[in-house]
Amino acid sequence: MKKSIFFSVLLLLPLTGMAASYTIDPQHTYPNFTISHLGFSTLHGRFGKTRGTLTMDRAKGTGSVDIVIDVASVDTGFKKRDDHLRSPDFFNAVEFPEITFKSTKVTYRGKGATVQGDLTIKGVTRPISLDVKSINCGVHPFSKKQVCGFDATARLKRSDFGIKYALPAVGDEVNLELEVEASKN
Amino acid sequence: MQTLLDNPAFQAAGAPFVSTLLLALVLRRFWPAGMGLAITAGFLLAAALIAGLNLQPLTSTRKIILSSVVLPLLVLVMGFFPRMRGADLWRWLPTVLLTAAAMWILWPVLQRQEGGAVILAATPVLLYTVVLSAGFVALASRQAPVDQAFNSVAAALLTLGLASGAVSLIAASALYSQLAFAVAASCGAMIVVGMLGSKGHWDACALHAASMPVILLAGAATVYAQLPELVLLCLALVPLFVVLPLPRPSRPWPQLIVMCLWSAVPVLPALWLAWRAAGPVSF
Repeated sequence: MKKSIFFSVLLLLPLTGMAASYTIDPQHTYPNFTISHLGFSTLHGRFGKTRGTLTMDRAKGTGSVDIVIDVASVDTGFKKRDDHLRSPDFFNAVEFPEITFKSTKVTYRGKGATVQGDLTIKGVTRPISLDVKSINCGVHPFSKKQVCGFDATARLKRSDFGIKYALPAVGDEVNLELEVEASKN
Repeated sequence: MQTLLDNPAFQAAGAPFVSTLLLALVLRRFWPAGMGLAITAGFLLAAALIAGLNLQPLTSTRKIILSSVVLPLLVLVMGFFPRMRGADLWRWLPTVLLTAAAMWILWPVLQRQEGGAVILAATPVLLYTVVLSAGFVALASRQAPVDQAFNSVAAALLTLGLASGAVSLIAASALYSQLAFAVAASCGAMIVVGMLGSKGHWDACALHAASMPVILLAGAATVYAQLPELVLLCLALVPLFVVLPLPRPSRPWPQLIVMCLWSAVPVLPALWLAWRAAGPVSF
C-alpha cells in the first residue's frame, strides 16, 4: 500500500512542476490609457482588440506574458480623434499595426506580481514594469474552464516611443491599465 | 526660447523662411549654382524642429525627410559633371530617384500585400510622383526668358507646398502639413531673394529637387493617413496650370502672383475633396 502511494506521488511530481499556459480572452482583455488633455481634463481611451498568451508557475516563481494589441482598434469615443491617433502624428497604425508587450521577468508578491517586460510601440522598444495587484484564478461558471485574470497598471512617457506630437499641450505621461482574462489551454 | 521653438507656426514657417533667406543670400554671393540647396536646408531645419533628426527606427516619416535631403544633394553633385549635365538622364534623374524613394517609403505597406494588390496599392502614388516630377522637369527645361522660367518653377513649388500643407492639415496629418508648409515657406524666401537680384545663376534642377518633399508627403498621406487619392490627381495638375497660355503681366512680381493664382485653380477641388473626407473638425 505504502509502495503504491509512493510511486503515485513520484508519477505526479513532474506535473506539479509544469507551468500552466493560458490563452488571452480577447473579449475580456482591454488595455486602457489616460492622458492629460491640454491640462483641462483627463482623456480616457482603450484598445478594443488584443490577443496573446500567459504562462504561470507559482511553485517555481516563473511566468510569462505575451500580448499583442491591434493599434487600429484605438477608441476614445470620438471617431475624428481616433483617426488622428491612427495617423502618422501619433501611432501611424498603417505602418505599425501592432503594439506588443513581451515579459522578461515575473516576480510574484503575495497574491499579486510585478511583470517586467519590453513594450514596443511604433517600432521603439522600451522596458516597462506592470504592477499586478491580485491574480485571481478559478473555474468560469458558464464555460467551466479554468480562468485567471488580473488588473495591471503602468506609467510611461509617450515621447520615449517617439510620439511627440502636441507636446506639452497633450500630456507626455500616460497611465496604462490592463484588464486581462485568460483561459487555460 | 523653448516656447518659440515649440510653436508650430515658427517650426513650419518662421524658421525655414528666415534660414532659407539668409543662406540663399550667402550662396548667391559665393556659390550661385548651389542656391537651390537653401530650400533643402530650410526644410531640414524645420524637420529637425518638428520631428527631430533621430533616424531610428526608420519610420516612413523619417524616410521622407531623409529622401528630401539626400536626393537634392545627389542631383546637385551629379550636376557638377559636365557630361552628366548634357545627358537626358540628368534631366530625368530627379524623377527616377523620386519614384524609387516613394517605393521605399511605401514598402512597409506594399510588402504586406499579395499579388495584384501590390500594384493597386502602389500605382496611384507612383503615377502621381512620376507625373508631378515630370511636370517640374518640363517647367525647369522650358525655353523661356530666365525671369519667366524662374517664376514658373517658383509659383508651382509655392502653390504645391501650400496646397499639400492645407490638404494634409484638413484630412491627413498635422505633421505632414507642417513639413509641406516648411517647403512653401522656404520657397517664399527663395522668391524674395530671386526678385532682389539677377536670376541668371539659379539652377532649375536644384529648385525642382526642392519640390521632392511635397511630392513625397502628399503621396504618403494617401497611404499612411486618410487623404483621398483623387486629391493627388488635382495636385498633379499644378505645373500644367502654370504653363497654360493664359494672360499674364510681363513685370516679374505681378507675373509671379498671377502664375500662383492660375496654379491654384486645381487646388480648389483638392481642398474640397479633403474637406469632404475629413468631416466635422473639433478639438
